[in-house]
Amino acid sequence: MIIIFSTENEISTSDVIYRLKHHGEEVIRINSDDDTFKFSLINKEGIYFKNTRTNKTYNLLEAKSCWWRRTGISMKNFILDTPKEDFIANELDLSVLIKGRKSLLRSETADLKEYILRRIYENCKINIGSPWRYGLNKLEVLDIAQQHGLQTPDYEIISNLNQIAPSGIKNEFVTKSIAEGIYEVIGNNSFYTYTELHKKEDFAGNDVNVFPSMIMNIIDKKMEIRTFYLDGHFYSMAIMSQSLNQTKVDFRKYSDSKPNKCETYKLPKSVEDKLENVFKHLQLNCGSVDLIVNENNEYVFLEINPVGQYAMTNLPCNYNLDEVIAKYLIHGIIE
Amino acid sequence: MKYSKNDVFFVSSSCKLVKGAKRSIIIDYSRGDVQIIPNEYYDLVQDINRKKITEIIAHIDEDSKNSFFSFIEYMLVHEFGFLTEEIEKFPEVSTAYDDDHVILKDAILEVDETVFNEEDFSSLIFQINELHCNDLQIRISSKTNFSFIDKVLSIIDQANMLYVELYLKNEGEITNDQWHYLLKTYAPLSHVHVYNAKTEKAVDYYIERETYFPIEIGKVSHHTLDFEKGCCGTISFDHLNFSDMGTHHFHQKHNGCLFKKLTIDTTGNIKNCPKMTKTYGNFKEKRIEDVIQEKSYQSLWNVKKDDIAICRDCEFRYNCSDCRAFTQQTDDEYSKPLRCGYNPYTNVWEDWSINPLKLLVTEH
Ligand code: SF4
Ligand code: SF4
Repeated sequence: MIIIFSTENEISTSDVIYRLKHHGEEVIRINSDDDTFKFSLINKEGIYFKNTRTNKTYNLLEAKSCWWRRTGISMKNFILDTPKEDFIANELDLSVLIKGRKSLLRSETADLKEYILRRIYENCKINIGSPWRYGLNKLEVLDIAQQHGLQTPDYEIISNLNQIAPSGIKNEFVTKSIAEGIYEVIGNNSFYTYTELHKKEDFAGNDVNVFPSMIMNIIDKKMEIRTFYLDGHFYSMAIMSQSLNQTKVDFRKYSDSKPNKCETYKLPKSVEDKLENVFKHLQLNCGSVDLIVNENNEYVFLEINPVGQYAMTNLPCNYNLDEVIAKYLIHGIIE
Repeated sequence: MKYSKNDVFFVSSSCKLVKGAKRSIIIDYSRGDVQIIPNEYYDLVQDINRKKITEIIAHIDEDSKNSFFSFIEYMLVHEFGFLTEEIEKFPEVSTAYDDDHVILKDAILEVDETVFNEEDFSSLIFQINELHCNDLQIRISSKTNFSFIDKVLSIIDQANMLYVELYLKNEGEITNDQWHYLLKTYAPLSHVHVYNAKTEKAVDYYIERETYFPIEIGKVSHHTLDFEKGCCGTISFDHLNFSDMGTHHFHQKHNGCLFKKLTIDTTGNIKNCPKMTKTYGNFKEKRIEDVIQEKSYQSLWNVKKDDIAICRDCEFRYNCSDCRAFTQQTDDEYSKPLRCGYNPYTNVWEDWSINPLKLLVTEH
């Protein structure tokens, strides 16, 4: 039995399951955003969840492997319905006890969830990803990358615009979100955090307090590298984004009609070794890495996304990653 | 053209070059683009790909150098290729095509209201769904009738189909509102083809939502062609695929039409294709899963373009699906599709049906 924690519309999950079933494996897919699987029981023998569509109950501790693809379990997997009415007792409004951030439901769920995920993680012989590494702290990861000898972009975090001019950052710079950034679709518009190019002189003489903001040196890039990493193996792709000025900063702004060329790519062994040390440091065996190759042919590390989409690397490079992942979940090795 | 001493030229991972009898093409799958080049340039690319520019020009005579450089420049401007000093960092893209996990790619179900049995049809859909086939074509040969179509689609709706196409005759009336209802109610239903129509037309259907762009839910196309003749096997430039590299690799290994295809006729017979007479038994008596594993059922699955006469000389061979039911020589498994109007020896496309030689075969 193989467990996959994912979300309802995650396509790579479906593609991998298709292959696992072909190889004769039983797969339990638990989505945090639907309520197919419900918590049933924890006893000495196991942790039981029930598929409410088939009425079958599974002991999750019977799984040999687990893919921590997306957020895991949520409140939905524990209760039938979240309370909507207010909770009034003796004319006192006690709703905070059952609703909202401080509610009892939340704290009970949080500990239960942590316990269940840990037991499954420790019990499985094969894991891809980890329940403790769904998200990483960008600043920490940059430090770790540096410790392992990777070049990283210089940045400062400022709280007033007048700190820009005297900063060690070069004249042309970009702003970046410190955490994940925004991705929201509202009506006909999608909103997401761009990496926007700025010049120091535009902020000269501005004494304005701002929320702590990251300013980062711009890197003149020859190309961007996306790498899918799994247990010591690297599947890399180069995005040749130098050809148009428009793409110098962020290739997502490129028009669809002439997409940037994506080429199969092999990182130098020395860079792969350093990246592998970063993954080991993070106790993570899978993730997508973003790097830049600058004008001097140096590799600059940007970030690791532990749950990133690999389909965009898989398709142009024909790496057959769905099969690689499926085989890894079955055998725990990459052929 | 600027280049350094150690620059190596390589063809982009997203591009394929294919040589035909008289000319070659470059297909850029990342941009859905196709360009025609002379065969000499195809050969040139084979010679120079992944080699140092300085080493190549040492072997080129003075007179040809200019045209050599302008060709390389053409390749670079279109990004069909790149120069690099570190070729070991740009490995060649794999040409593997792995779909072992797919049992059935697509299925054609012929349906006739006068012999239709709801229970049988449900069990058929169930079987097909178990085989993970999620691409379905329904051909209704009886008179078009809204409530019958509605019933057929509601049965299909219980399975996990991703894409459903409907083929009909232009008999009996279905209003625009009814089409809208069907396309909206049954999400996998994407394209309806109506044959024997008086005029050619295509109508797109949308759902309007406040503050959102209208969402396209499907298309109804009317064709003047006859239902029996029209709906299969025709190959024209518009049918060629230049946007999916996977299909290119697929056509290098398998038959573009029949590989992992299933057809069930109106009475439940299992066939390769609606236009072929051979049947492999009835699905009410045999398991489809077993039948499609039979050697004879799979005999045409791997007839590839490189095996087929004339097609093997055609520069579009990996962009072109195939047809084994209508071929120029009916008794030859490797004969060219009849309903293709392309001649790779003259590079002329013509309407296949007006070629007098071919008409003779069609009438037989
Ligand atoms: S072989 Fe020809 S007639 Fe048969 S399904 Fe394919 S295209 Fe249609
Ligand atoms: S000659 Fe063959 S490969 Fe070429 S377009 Fe016609 S059917 Fe396709």
